[in-house]
Amino acid sequence: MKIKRLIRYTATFLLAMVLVLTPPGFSQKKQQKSPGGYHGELDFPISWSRYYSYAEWTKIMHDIQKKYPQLADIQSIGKSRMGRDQYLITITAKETGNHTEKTAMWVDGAIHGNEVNGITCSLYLMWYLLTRYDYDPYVHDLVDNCTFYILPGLHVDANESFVMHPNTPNNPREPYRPEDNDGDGLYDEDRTEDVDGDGELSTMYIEDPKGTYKLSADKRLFVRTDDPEEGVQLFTRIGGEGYDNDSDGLINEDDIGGPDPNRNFPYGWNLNAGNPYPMSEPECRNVFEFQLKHPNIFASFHYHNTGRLIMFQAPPAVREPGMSPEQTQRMREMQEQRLALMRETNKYAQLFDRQVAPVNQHDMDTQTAIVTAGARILQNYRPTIAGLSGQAHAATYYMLGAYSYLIELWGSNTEYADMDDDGRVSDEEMLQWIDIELMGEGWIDPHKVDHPDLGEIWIGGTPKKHIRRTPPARYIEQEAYKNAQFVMY
Amino acid sequence: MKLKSSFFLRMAVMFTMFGLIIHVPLNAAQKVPISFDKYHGFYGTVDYLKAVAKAYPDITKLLDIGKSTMGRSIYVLVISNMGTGTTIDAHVGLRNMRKEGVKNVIPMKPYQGKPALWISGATHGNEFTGTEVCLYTIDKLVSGYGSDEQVTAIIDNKTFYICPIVNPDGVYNSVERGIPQRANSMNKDDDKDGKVNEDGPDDLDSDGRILQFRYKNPKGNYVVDDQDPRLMIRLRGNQKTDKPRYSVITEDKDNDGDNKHGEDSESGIDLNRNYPEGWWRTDGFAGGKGDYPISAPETHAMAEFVTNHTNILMAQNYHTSGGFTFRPMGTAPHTNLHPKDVAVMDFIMGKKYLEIIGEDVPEAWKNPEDLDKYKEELKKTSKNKYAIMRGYELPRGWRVSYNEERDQRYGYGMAADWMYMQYGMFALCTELWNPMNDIRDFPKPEGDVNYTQIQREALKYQDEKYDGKLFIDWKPYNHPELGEGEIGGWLPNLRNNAWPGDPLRKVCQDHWQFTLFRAGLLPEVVITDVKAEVLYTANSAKEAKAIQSGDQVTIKKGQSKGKFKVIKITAQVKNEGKLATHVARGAQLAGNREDVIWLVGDPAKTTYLLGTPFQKLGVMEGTMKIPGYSGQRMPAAPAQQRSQRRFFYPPGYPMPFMRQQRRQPTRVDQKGPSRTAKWLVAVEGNTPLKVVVSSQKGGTKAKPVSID
Repeated sequence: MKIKRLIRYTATFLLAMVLVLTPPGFSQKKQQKSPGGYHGELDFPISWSRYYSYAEWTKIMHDIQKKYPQLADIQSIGKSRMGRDQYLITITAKETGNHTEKTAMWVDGAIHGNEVNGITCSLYLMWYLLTRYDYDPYVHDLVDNCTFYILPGLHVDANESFVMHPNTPNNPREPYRPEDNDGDGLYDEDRTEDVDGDGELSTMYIEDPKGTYKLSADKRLFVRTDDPEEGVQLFTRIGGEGYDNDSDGLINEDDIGGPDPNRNFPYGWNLNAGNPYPMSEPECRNVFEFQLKHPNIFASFHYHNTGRLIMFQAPPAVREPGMSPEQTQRMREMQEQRLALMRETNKYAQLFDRQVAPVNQHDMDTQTAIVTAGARILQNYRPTIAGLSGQAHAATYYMLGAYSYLIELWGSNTEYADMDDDGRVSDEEMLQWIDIELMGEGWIDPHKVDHPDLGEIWIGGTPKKHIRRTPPARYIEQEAYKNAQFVMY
Repeated sequence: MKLKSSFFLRMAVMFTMFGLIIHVPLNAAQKVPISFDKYHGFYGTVDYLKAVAKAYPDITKLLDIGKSTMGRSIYVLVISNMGTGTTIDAHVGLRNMRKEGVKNVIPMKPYQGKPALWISGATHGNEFTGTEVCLYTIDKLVSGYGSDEQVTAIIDNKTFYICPIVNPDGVYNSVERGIPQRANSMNKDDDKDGKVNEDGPDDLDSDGRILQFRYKNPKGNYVVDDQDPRLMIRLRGNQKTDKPRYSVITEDKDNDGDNKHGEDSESGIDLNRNYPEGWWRTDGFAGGKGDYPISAPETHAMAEFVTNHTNILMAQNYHTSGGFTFRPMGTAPHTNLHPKDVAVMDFIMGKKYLEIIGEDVPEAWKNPEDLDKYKEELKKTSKNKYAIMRGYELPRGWRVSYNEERDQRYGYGMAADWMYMQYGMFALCTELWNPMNDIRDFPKPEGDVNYTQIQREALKYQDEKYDGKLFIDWKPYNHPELGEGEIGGWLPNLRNNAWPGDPLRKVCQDHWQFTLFRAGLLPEVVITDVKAEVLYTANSAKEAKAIQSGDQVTIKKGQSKGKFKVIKITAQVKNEGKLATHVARGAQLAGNREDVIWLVGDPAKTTYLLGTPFQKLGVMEGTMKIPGYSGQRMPAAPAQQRSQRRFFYPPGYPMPFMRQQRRQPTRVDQKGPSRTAKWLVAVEGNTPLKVVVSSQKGGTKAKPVSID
């Protein structure tokens, strides 16, 4: 009897030793060590080659959570003005601890309705973390030890409109609080419309013997001409596609929406940009209330379009008292020299012209180091210090104490499209780029349309949506994976 | 014979009754009785508001504008003739709308088209005298409609938004539960012990009241008064004394065994520090209360209401106590106010207020044209640089909370400053209740008056007139943690609220008078004349194009448009109210706009030849000359300019046929209360035209154009 018990104890002891002493990662049965190997991409396939509607991407979120319930939870942090839920996904390995007890990273996209690139980047990060958990030891550790709060779409009302309805690259951007932009007493009464029904908003022109535009030789562009030849058809540029809804003689002068949501946050708020009052927009208020209740948020990313910028919050600048202009100039030159020296070994090195109080120097150095790495990961992005004025990341840094970043995704297609290397992309260069890179899918050729008030007009000569401001589909994944890398770094 | 006389009798009776029906005005007299012998509290107020809304459906509307932390509704009663008033969106037809069809704009209510006055009470839960004044005001308004000429005119032409309780939880706790609560309620674990709101005041001796507990404490800050041993006097700062020291606390014990009492009560934040104006400190940290401006559900409800009701020009927030009024600003000094607004508030409103409460009006206000003389005198005597700038020290009864002598703000994030600076309202904060003034036979103490003396007199007064029932005598009690002591004190709310009965009625009546006065100052934009002159009738199919050069208009033939008349329309509008349609810089504030006038007609049949469909009128002045103001300006701060974010909007493009005019709406560049707007239109057939003048805070009026 005693021997049996001894054997049982020994067996248990040995088993316990085995379990305790097993190196971490051994439980990752599907661990993948080769860069060329399978990392779980097809476990939950998502196509990154297009933009999704609100219904589609919220379904993706819910479906992926159902597949990885031990890693993710979904909640609605509140409703938008028009009643859409703002869905947030919390990612962390539940068995290693509660999400509130771990350091957390906050990621949100598309606070500006039209900047939907942020949605895909956020979704990509979510997908990456969840599908690679079982395969990638780095992701495994990350998800075990940290929490990710990911809100792909912040301004969900306009996100949906931008993707699913005809829009220019710049609207709708603001939350749908009615605003009287033209001071006529009516609110949001003159919005953009798709006059020719082609699903895109372009520019309207009208034939005019005194006009200053003519068609290009290949008839695909309107070009300015100050010295027209005889017999050439001339046009006047009317403006953006739309109707005069309120019959006041102006077109599209009072579009939907009110204040800039990224000026609605409390820190540095002012009445002109952030009206009517701080946190007046439910979409923004829900976000800040969530952040207040989750003090474990250590860093935050806010996605925007456009510009290829890494904007980061830094401690406030202190001015050195009594510096003469010569001294300032000299300091600047010294900094440039130092930067040039740094760049000899690291072409992504960064140095910022900001003096901070000694107690804040650590923050400044940390941020500098982080965005230097960011510059390297994101390649053609440029770090720069961000402003205040009621922006979300200002509130996150100054009020909640989290390192915060505003990433302006995508940007002008300068290096792709600038054929003559003059630093700008002219309309002709843009047209050529679209023809070759996108097989012509991005351009609206001028064509005649009947307008109820204006009569016969011409519309066209512009790129479509998802070219200038948000990337065309084939570039979505490229932006997404680069940015996911930066977040994980 | 019999038949005839009974016939005449019947006729006589009928005529008398008919006469009575004709002469007795509809909706007259008080349909909902109200008494001011007892405080209404939260539920009493709600019951009254609901009864009034039900009894006077033609002139009132009850709105639930949001819920407090504990789920109690915040009510605004709208008082205005629901059958009058119009708004611009009712007249301008929209067409060819975007197919997406997002319906984010709610049609305006007719009462939003009239100049409005906002009145609120009980921002602080224990300051519910303001609630009573609001209810009194409501009673006077609805009961006077139809019988009192002045009240009837005001209700027909203006709008009142009355919010008797901004802080429902605070009022409920203060009145119904007897635990005075200045702040709102919050479910917050103040002492971070894992439990929420577990340790608030307690009724130790179970007498149904929360009073005070006093006990001997060598470190205490109170001493017993020599003259009236019931009175506890608080020692100042480093004041020394030979008398035994006491501590005085609200009836309370340690509920959660952590050796502290009352450290985690329901009490949340001071709502009058939660508004966005002056909320931040200059060093970048928070000065106001709450996690961020407008974080509390109560201030959120109020902010949203005020944002969506842009016709408010006057605001009044009632507080207690003291018996005086604060006018803006408390978070910033005098130099932040426009001289015109200062003149309107001090020389017009302040003067009337002081007359009502019976205080002396400063000499300078009686002769505002001689301000320079007073400024010179003050330079010699005053240490207050702002008083010297103004020409007078502000009197006790009408002043600012900003500490001008020390150049220090009074607090952060206060409502009146916010309503003035960000919404362009003449916003006031009146501290109601001064027992010396409001209790008619209250003895006037000799010599210097201080708080202690007032307290002594108050104690004696209530002994006589209230049978001693307002102050409970100290009775011994053995406190579980603090030992031997006594429980007693004023009934919880009477130290800073008007006493029920005659004193309360006097406070109400005074401020009702002031409200009437201010309502009488509101602007009133009217259309005085519309003339239409047919210049030209075309029977051929050629359109006439009008070209203006100076005052000459030449009509030329152009493209075909159909059969029409060319009409010159002249509309005259005027602000017949006393004050201008905005405060000095009000029209530039984000969310506000200047006055406009529209000529509305069927767009398919109306062509605007000269003059855009809507024209900008600037800000129409009032008819009242503003004493002591002759056009002084202040430097335009950068904050008053409209933001530059229009970059992201495609700016409105003009229709081609209007290219000969400027692409901005026509501006009528006149000053003063009147404007003349002109149009030259070509109309097809007899298509109707309408002139609509729309002032955000001056009201909207419409009038059809009659064309002979």
